[in-house]
Amino acid sequence: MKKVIALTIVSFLIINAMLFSSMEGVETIETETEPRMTLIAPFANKMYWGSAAAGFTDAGRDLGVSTKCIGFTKIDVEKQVSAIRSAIYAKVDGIVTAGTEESEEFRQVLKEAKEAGIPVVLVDSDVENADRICYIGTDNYDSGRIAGEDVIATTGGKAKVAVVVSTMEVENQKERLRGFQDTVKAYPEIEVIKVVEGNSDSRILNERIARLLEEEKDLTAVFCAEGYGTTSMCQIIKDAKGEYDDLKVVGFGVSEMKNQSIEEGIMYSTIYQNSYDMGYRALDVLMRVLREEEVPPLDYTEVKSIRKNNLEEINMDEGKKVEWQIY
Amino acid sequence: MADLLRKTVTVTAKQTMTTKKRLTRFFVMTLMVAILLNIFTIAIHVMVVKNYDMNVAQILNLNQFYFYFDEMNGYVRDYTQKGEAEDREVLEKCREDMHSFLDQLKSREENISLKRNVSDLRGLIETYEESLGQVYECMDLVKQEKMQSEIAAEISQEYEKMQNIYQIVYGEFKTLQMGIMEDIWAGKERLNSRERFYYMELCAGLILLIGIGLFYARDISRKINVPIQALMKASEEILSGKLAQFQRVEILGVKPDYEMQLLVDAFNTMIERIKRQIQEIEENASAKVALREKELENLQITNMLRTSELKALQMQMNPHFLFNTLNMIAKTAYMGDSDKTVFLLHNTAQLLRYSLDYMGKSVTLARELEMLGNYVYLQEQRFGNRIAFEFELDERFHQVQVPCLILQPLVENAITHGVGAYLKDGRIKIQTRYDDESQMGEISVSDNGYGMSQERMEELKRDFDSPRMQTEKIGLANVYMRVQLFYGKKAVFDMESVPEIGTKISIRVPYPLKQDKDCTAKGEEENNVSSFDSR
Repeated sequence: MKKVIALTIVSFLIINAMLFSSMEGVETIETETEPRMTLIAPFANKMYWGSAAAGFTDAGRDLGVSTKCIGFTKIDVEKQVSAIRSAIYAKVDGIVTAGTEESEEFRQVLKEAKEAGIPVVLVDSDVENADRICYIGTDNYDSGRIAGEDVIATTGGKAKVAVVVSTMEVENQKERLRGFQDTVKAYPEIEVIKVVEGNSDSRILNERIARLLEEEKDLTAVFCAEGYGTTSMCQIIKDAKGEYDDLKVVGFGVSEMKNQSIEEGIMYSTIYQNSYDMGYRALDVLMRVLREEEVPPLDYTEVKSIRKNNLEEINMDEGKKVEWQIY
Repeated sequence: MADLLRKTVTVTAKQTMTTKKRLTRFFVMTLMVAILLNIFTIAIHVMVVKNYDMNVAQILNLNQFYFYFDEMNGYVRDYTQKGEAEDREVLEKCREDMHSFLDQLKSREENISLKRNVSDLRGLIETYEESLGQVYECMDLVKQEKMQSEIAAEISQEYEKMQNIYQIVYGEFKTLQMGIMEDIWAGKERLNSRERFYYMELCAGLILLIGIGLFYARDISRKINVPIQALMKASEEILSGKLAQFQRVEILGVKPDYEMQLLVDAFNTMIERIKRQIQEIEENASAKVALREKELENLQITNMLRTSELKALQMQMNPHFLFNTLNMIAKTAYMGDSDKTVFLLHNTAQLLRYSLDYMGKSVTLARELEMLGNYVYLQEQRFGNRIAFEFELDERFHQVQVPCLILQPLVENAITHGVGAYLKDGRIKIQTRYDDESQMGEISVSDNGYGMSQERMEELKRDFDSPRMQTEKIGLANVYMRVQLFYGKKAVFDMESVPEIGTKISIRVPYPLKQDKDCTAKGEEENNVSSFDSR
């Protein structure tokens, strides 16, 4: 009896001592000793940039680097530039961001970064002659080529093709179109009859795509060279309920909607860019720069065509766990 | 008895629980649990308060940091515009305060994003201060009267940068605050989940406390109450006068505590002792009654003896008897028979002495018979041939003790009421006989007188047993009473009478023959009595 009571009391005390001692205290925040890296994505979404951020965060965890992912509710170069400047003022050890070709301010802020001695890695899209350490991303010409091959495969080398781009001023769009055109050139019966610029704006896209479909009655295939265009295209075909079922579509990027479209046969294939790899490799490159190693100025990540048969290869969830700091 | 009780109780004291021990244990246990619970509650309270303080400190630190940062920025503006040393001093003070609050920013360790944001904030502040340093340098140059437009431009450029950073830092406020809130929230969540556990523990502790209380209350009430109830019941029983039937207090079902057992045992012992003492008192009382009865009896005997003594004296001094005897002696003397005269006188004197000497005492039957011999001799001399005296003796029991002068009245009675009136052939037979079977000796005096009727005899016998005349009884009744008093119920006094045939009075006394042999040596000197009688 006595022993049981003593045991109970002692265990009670021990358990509580453990519980109370495990009570985490609040600590004064010291400046981090590990390198601080910031990813500034032009858009905080779950799929493409989410994957990139996931890759970036995972690399940070693997390499012992503090990471921070900043994104925006909509693409806004000015905000992106000020975020980069913020990071420079905050004396971070490296910046990863996406290139914005047409912005002079962007070039300016990259210059400021270089002056402050902060290496910048560009992912997704490159900016020519900018002060960046390295570009990591899709070989856009190659992605255009893969899309061309898909169009050939789905039309049997005989088609009238329209291409939807965001704007022809953007380097990656130009490259993709060039790659596409170079590939289909080998098939004389394939003709690119129209290039539609949608400015990555769903309102404009819907309007222009609708007009395209109305005007070009003999259109047999469409290559959407960027994500928004692809989404709009799929939605329009879906809403038409069978009217454009003969239209062969090759899209760009993955999302649940796009994957579903492939499954339903609305879209033949989509070009998948491995953005996770971009984020991961970008951080790796930055660390190599910090260690003063030589880094290549260009690093292409994997591009592949996703069709019905390899849909499950895409991990749709990796971008969902990312903690964005959204501005 | 008490020692034994004490011994058994001390043995059990080591084995059984005492109420004192039980109460102490109850008290200690309750106190311990209560103290534990109290400490525990205090610990929870401290924890909660600490958490709350922490949260408040976190928010306050951030707010204070922004407050001083804002203040400092204001003075920076003033300073860059006017370049006054006072502003710079205040600015520096604000900067110091700002830094102290910045350094006090706290977070729980796992809040990585907050940690990172604070690190970035420090970077921003550093950059801001670098610019401020530049502004100071420029201002110093201005002070040295080297006022140049280049310097002014640099100042304004740095100021712009500082304002830019100021905006960025302000933009960060929301993020930082949210980070801290998240931190607080996470802490609160964890605390909440833990609190639930603590409260459960607290409840369990309280239940335990109540359980201990109930357990001990039941235990103590059982171990104390049951014996007390038993004792009370026993006391009531005894008070209602059932002490004789009362056995002992038994406690059933529970093993009482040492104290209670002691009490019950003591009670039982006490009752036992009281009962024994009452019994002793009763025994004493009955013994006293017996003693008093015996004393009374003795008194009666004495009284009776005194009466018989008187009567015997009266009888001895019966003038008629004495006249006859003396006449006879005188006649004998006249005849010149001096030897016979001497013998008769001697005989008479002996008879008278015996009557006086042994009055109220017991004598052996042999002695009594010897004296009777003297009496009979005198009567023989008096009555001559008219009455024949006959002795038939069995000497085996002649050592038996008898009251003195019991035979003489019987013979006198036989003469007076039996054969005294006979002119011839009167016969009186004195017989002793021992009955081996019943171990009793019989002494009988029989005559061949007129006898008496059955009615007369019954009347006589009734007269013997009537208590009122005891002291006044003479003759036969006197003898009867004395025999009864001397032997109690062990002797038998018997009387047979047939009219015209005669009367026989017999006394049977107990005399175990075994003792006879022991007594023969003593009784040797009396042997000559029988030889005398047989002559």
